[in-house]
Amino acid sequence: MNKYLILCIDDEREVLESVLTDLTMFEQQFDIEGCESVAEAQTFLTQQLEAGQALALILCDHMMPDIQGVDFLIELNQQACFQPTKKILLTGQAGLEATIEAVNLGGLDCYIAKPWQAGQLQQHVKHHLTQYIIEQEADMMPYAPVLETQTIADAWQQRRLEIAAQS
Amino acid sequence: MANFVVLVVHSDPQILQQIKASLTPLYQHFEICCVKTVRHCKSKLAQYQLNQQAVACLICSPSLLASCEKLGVDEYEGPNKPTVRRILVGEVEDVEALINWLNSSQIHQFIYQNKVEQEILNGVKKQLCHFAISENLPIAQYLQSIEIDNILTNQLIKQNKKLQHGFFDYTRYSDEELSKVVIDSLYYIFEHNDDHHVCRRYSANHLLTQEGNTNDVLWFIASGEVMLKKLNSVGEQQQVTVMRAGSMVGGMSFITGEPAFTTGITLTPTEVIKLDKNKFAEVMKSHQALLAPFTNLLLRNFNRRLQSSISTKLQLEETMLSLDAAHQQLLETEKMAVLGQLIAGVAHELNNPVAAILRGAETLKNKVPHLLANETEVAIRKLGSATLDSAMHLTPMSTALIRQKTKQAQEHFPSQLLAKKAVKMGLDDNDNYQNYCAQNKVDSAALINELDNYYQVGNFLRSIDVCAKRIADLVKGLKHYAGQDTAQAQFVDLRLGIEETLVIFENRLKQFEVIKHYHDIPSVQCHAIELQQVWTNFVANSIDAIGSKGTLTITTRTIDYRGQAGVKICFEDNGPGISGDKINKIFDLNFTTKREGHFGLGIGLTVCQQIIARHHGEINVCSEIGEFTRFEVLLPVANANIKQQRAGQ
Amino acid sequence: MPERSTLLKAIFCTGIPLLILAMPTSWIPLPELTLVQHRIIAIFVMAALLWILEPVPVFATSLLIITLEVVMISDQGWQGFTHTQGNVPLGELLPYQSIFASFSSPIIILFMGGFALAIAASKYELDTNLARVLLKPFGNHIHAVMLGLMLITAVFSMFMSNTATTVMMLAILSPIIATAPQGDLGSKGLVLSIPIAANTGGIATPIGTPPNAIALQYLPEGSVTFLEWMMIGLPFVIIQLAIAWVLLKLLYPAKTARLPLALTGQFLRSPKAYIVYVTFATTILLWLTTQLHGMNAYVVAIIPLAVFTLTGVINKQDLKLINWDVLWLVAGGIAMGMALDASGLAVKIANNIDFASMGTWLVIVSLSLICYMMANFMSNTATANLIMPIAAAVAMTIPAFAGSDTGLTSLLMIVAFSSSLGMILPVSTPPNALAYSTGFIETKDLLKTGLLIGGTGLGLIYLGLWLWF
Repeated sequence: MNKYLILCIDDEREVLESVLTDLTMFEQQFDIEGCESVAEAQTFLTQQLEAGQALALILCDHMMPDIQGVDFLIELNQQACFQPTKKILLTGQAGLEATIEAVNLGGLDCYIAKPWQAGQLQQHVKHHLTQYIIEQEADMMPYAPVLETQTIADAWQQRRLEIAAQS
Repeated sequence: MANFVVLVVHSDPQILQQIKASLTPLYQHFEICCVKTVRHCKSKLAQYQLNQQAVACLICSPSLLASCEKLGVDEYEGPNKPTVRRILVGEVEDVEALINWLNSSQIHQFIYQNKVEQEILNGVKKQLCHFAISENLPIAQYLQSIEIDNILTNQLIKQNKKLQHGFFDYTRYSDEELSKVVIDSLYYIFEHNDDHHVCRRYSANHLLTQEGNTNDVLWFIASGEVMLKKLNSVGEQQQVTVMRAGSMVGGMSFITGEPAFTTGITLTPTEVIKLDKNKFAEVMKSHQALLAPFTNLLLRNFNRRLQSSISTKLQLEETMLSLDAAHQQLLETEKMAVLGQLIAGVAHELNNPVAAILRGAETLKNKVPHLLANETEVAIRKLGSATLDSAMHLTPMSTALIRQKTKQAQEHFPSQLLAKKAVKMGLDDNDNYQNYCAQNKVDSAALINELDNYYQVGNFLRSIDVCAKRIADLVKGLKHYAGQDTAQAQFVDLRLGIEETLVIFENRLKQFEVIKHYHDIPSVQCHAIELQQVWTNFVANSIDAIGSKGTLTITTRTIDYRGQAGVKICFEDNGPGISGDKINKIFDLNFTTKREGHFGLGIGLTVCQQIIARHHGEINVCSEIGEFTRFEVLLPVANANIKQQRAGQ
Repeated sequence: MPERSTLLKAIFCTGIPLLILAMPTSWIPLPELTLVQHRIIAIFVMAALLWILEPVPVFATSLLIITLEVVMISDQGWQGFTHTQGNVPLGELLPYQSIFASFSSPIIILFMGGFALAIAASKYELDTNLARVLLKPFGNHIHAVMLGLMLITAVFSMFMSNTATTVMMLAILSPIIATAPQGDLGSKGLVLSIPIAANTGGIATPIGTPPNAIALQYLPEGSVTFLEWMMIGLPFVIIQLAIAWVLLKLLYPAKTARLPLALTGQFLRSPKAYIVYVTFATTILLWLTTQLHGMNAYVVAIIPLAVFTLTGVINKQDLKLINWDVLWLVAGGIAMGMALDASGLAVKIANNIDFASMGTWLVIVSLSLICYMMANFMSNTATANLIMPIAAAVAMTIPAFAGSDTGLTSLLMIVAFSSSLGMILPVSTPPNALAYSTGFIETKDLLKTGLLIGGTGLGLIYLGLWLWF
């Protein structure tokens, strides 16, 4: 099990598969999982939390049965353990109000419209994973090759004294 | 010097001023810096860097955000490298713009420009709290600032105007000057002998005249406001006009003795001069000089009213002429508006399958050449094609099941990733996999990765197939809706039309439970596409009314309709319902409870009623608050003679 | 089960010393052993075991040493320890002040001065910008860049912590490596060059790495100045780097010869930044010119500390960035050495083993080899802490060294150099661990190059010694 998890939620299986396929480039450093509903995601996240895995990034559809994506992101954002998690909405259907709400309350970091381009999706995910790792992970260099190397290297350098003081 | 700065960059000086004013409570602990341009911002930032002050919160307009980012507001060397909290203040037209801002830099809060005064302080406080937490600032020290209440001060400015006296040629006076002369004179007269209490002061909501009652008093308003109201045809009080200082109230009924035409009621504390008939006669007799300006004033008063009513009448006639045309156009527009929104909705619906197809096609593009390259052994290729075949025909298992199985199988595989791939291909639960490896003498990791290529190709082929079918269904539904009925009514199974409508709404109905009680009904002679417009309206209304989760029940059954064979179609939702006073009006042309951004123009039910009426049917609605709303459509089966909407125009 | 093995280690590390403490003094094969000396042996064994096996952090061991010393062998210790029991002589108790004084030893101040320079330099980006500027003239050919990287890394690690220097240089390098084609050996060579240069560079100055300073502690006051150390250390470092450069070129041939270097650096121009630049240069200059002004390295070291804290260059927050654990580790070593020395135990042991008959060469080679071996598996500083007092005592008894300080000086410097040469594993030194964490290199790369560089380093030491004497 990797230390960090990337979770994708989409109620449409075909779309979910496509997203997961597009993210395979990160699978060596991150566990990548898909869920077909928010309820499933909730149980799964609780389970992973107990196992000590942190949620680095969540890619969530908006229009879903039961709970809508934005509402779920807001719910997540209210839990301290998921606040650092980078939250991306992948949808074609979130309205203006819902998006503003997601920004103000849900800590939304990014919005990707469907249909998406693989490169664009990967770039956004890479960027936000990089930010997450810089904010959360002391030993960030192992992530540098798959993420934004320059950014991580810069952040690492900024912290050189702390690292020196710790090792 | 405060350690932290709240930086406001906005090109609109008014908003800048508003923000600056709203943030005064924070001055004690934060430096609030308001600048108009990026250039100013830059020099300020340089200064802060020198002083080792850090920007804690950046407030700016969307258009300036990017340039502010470029200046490097984040270049603060705090121990935790906290992010500068960013608040956007501005207008946002559509979600696209918001997404652009969001994706090009971090935003923590968005505040509408017109709400900035109410929301900015709390917003900044909230963001400063976030900042303080991430920066590990001793919050207590700042708490005072962050919690201080906003003190509003209001100053009333009074203006004094000098009284003016002694004019004779009243025709040269403006209306205001003339009335001032009369009122000032009256005050002068009653200044020292107001035995009858002529000069009065009323509080707000004091009734002066009552519509329909006789009135023998004349009021001059010296200060304050009086509203004139009149009952309209529905029995509601409608505002006619607001009279201010210098006006006369009750003049017409006072002179003519007819019942009062309007109800006059004070809006604010009002100073008046109240003259009844006796007092009026007394004043006119004793102060004859006042007669001329008063008569002049009265005549002018009446003249103004006459002029305005004539021009109103002319306007009304004009309006009446254009209204007919507008009505026709409105009905057409409603259909187009609904259609337009439907198309937008369907375009959204298409996103999911289109995205899946595009992504799938790209994956195939990458994988297929490899599979065709003939580099793999024959045995593995056989296995591969079997894997591909099953992936293409079997619906994949749920993600939860995959996870569960992966967990169980994990110990047999080198890594979790491989275990997951094997589970997806169904290689985990039998001895297949061990056999394969033994037989083919290959490394299990290599084998699984190779087979996974085949699996993915199969799976994406299946997914493309599924998605393409869905698109086809959607397009079919839309094509029918946008199309035109044949001139002659056709016999159609109404359930097909309903189903097509539901397909169009599929995504928006995701949060709904749709229950269908379709009893066998005969084909009905009708214009199917017009009826589809009716179903669309019902479904759209339910979605709009409920907003989130709900149930929609659709029932079809045969009935006896006015002595002949008929059908009844019911659409029932468990939404908030419609109150008794509104339910009678929902078919009226100008009735709507809809908010912006919902379906249609709010005249959908009017159109529905007309369509059903043309079909010689009935449309009924019943509802209970908080329980349900049910629309019923009753139609005769045989219906040879239907006027078409377009034929009528 | 990591917890369990830690517990076992801890039991072992305390059990053995307790056994030593419990057994009669007469069992220990040293003549006229006093109780105090007996206890010091137990403390020393425990310190050695704890530092080697590391069931607790190395700096915690240091604190334990000081605590045990003041309780067990100081004149203000526990009553039960300050009075004679039985017929074994108690021996002379140590003044407790001198044990505590290890915290304020000049060596500690020297290090604080060094840390202050490093903190200020990195806060005002002096180091990064300087590194980028200095790297530019080396062009973009991979071997030239490697040479540049090694030289710059070495120079910086002479005055800053080896670890901080490594982080900085790896951060400059890794974006370039990430764009290189996967599996290019040349990239590995580049990454390896940095920890090697950092470990080696530290040898050149007394403040380059803690073992050097510990060696100074055992040398008579004023016998080696900053400049004198550099005159021996610097040539050694230069030759070692040259060897390492050639080795890396041969072992890791590059497929792509040109590197896409985009080095942009701009020096900060705020008043405080200028204070940093000037103070940095002045301090180094003062260190090198002791003869001219008479202030030794320790005295000079406190000047930047004062300048930076007064001008606000280093604030309260930054003060926390000082490597307190290193300071404690060194303080513990000083306390240990002081006890060994002051109680006369060190001399007693040295006298008892007949080093004279072993031959000077054998003594030097075996000490430096033991030191090298230990340094590979544990902290270099802890190694120096353990070996240095023994080496100092041994040097006294070697007839060839008698009469002058030169023998002592060279032996201690050899021990210090040897402890800095241990770099065959990721855990050997923090720079190795950092380079390993980037994922660009594997353990076997470190093993291969570390053994070769260590070997040539030891060889060079012996050659120098042979030529000298």
